[in-house]
Amino acid sequence: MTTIVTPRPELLDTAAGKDNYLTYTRGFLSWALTLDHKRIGVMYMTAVLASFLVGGTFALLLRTELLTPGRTICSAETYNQFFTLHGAIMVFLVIIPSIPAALGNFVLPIMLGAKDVAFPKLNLFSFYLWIGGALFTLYSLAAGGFDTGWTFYTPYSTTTTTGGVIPVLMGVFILGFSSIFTGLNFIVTVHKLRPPGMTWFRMPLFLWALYATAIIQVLATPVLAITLCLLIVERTMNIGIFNPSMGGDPVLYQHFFWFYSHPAVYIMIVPAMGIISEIISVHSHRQIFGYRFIAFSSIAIAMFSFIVWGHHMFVSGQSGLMNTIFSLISFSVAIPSAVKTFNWTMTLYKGTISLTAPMMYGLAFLFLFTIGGLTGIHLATLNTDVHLHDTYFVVAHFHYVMMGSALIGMIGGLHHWWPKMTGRMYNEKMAITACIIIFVGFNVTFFTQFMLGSQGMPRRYYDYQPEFQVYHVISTIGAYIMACGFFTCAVCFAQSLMSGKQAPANPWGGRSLEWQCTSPPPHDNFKSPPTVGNCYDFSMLRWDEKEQGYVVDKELEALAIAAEARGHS
Amino acid sequence: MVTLPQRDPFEDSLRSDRAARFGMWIFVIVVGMVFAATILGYIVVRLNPHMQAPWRPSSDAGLPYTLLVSTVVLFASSATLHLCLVRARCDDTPGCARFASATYFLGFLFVLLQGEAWWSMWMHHVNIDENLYAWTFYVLTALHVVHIIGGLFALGVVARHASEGRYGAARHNGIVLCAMYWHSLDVIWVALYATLWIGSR
Repeated sequence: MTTIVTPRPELLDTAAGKDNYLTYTRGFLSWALTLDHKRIGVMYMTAVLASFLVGGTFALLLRTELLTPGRTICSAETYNQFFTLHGAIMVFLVIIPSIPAALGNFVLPIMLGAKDVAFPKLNLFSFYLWIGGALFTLYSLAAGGFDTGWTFYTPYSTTTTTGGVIPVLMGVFILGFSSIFTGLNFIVTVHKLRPPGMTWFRMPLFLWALYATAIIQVLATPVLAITLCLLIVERTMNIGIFNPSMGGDPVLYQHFFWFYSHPAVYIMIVPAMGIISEIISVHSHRQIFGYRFIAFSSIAIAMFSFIVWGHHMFVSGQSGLMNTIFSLISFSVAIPSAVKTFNWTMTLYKGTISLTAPMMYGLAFLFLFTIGGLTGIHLATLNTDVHLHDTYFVVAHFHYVMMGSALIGMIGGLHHWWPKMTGRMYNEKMAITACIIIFVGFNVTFFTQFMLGSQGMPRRYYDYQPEFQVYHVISTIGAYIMACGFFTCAVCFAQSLMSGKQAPANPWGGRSLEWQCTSPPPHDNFKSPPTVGNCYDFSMLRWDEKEQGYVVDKELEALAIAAEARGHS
Repeated sequence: MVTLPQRDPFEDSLRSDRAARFGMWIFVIVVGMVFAATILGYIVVRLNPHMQAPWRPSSDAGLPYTLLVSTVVLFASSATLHLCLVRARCDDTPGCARFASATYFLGFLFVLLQGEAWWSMWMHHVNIDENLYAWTFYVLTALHVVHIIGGLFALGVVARHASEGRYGAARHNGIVLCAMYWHSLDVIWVALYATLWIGSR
């Protein structure tokens, strides 16, 4: 489910002249066998966006089916497959790889000041593992599809007659390895490839977030891998440790699954938080507030992520003591999350805010993440969870976090680094319009679902009571509005690729290292070793009319260096 | 034959080697997590209070003694791999090649012995699809053997490079990486074997 992007002829004459990563070599093989992290990032991005189109189509199909009670466009069995495919594709093929593998691959080494990731071959191998996993997932459709829900809960997943269960489990298993190797690569890169001067506390916050994410990827994903393996064996042989008729325990599957899949939520959201830290400070031209707090809150979230999985299982028959402990720990995740949100708000306060498209996505993130995060508190509270469990309230909550936060963060990041990736600017007005349409559509779709859920509409149901219809209709209209927003966004990017204005090296006024190299960056990122400074000190930048971008003002730089020296003495 | 372009982000091979070792540590942790989860899963079902039938069928004779022999062989292979590294550090190329081949042979022998253990279980009518005692035995040992077979591929490369005289005092990172993985499989096997043995009591 991917297309390999070949360099566009019109990009040949971009600012970087002949040497940029897009034009360095040409032809299909120069992309298919590239070891350049930037090209691998672009290939990931293309593949992830293609999967997003497929997953989004399934979302529209299932929302359309829910327009009326009973049958609207498809049978109940087909509907079950729609929501399962939507969930599995969006989680495993889109959101998990979207920021670390796609944007992270492109940005991490340049931001760090490195030539590439630590293991370039392993990086390419991860990409092909992703492709392999995606092909298995697609094959599962041909093999009869699957209707287990993206969580593959036993005993249903071991007994359902749909033929695509084993292929999709294999697919997710392979995707897991792709994710593990990307995480491993990033951890080693951050440890071993920081140039002189790039200390841990000079690293941009996006790198801290990717680092925290990588820790979760390497520690949690192996557990998913073995769980899916055991599930495949169990489904093949009709016996296994999840089968209660032989003394196995189906709830054990849930423990294993959520031991991975709760941290996986943070694999999705933590890097998005990193992007937001960059966007908010760069586009409000103000030093990030509470750098260390944001950095350590990423690590804290990564640590907490491993000890809260039981909150997905409050009604699974877990003991009251376990439920209480998991509930309490889940509440504590609110602390690092709130630390971040308050710090972003403080960064905005008295900042010189440029309402660019990335900033609009950043602001949308703040609103949506606040709603998504605070509704999580209802679900972490034991007694309200018993009522809300498995209702649309949960669906709305995790869409606010996974889509409204993680995906919106990714799209914001894509806008932020688009000029760097392609060497082209996009139509700012069109991008902002798309953002507003997506924001409105998103809230119409999912805020309605909070109401549906609190009134008792269960999730994953094909049919419903007539009194719920009005909410379902509004929610479906919202989904279509959102689709229009994403379509506008796609048109905006396509237009930028075809006729976009040439991008300057530093269009937004960023100070981290990627803005020091040309747009698009050269093959080896930096011709000479970059100078590492405070990546959130914007005081030395001024807008240059001729460049149509920000440049470092020598006088202001001298003043800033003198001020820093005074500070040290 | 298509070859990948060269791209080394490190300034010198020393840093590159160090990074590779660090990466291998992380990989060992990944493998460790896989087995930790598996052993935990085993313990949960083994201690399941709702289990109706006894864990081990009365007709079963217990874990085959071949496993003890294979454990010794696996330890021996780790020892020879360590000696291979020691010889490489001393610039003794033929010695290094000899120990690398010996390790490969012992690793292969371990796989055969595990196969023999399976065969003897099978001969005692311990069928994989009859109870969890048998299922966990076959699945857990198979999971370990799969990792050993993966290690044999790496050992094969090391043995070939060693026979070509590529390793010496200045350059032996390949052996180090392979040894890190191989020794960790030793530790994992001991944990796994101990779990299965205590579980079968």
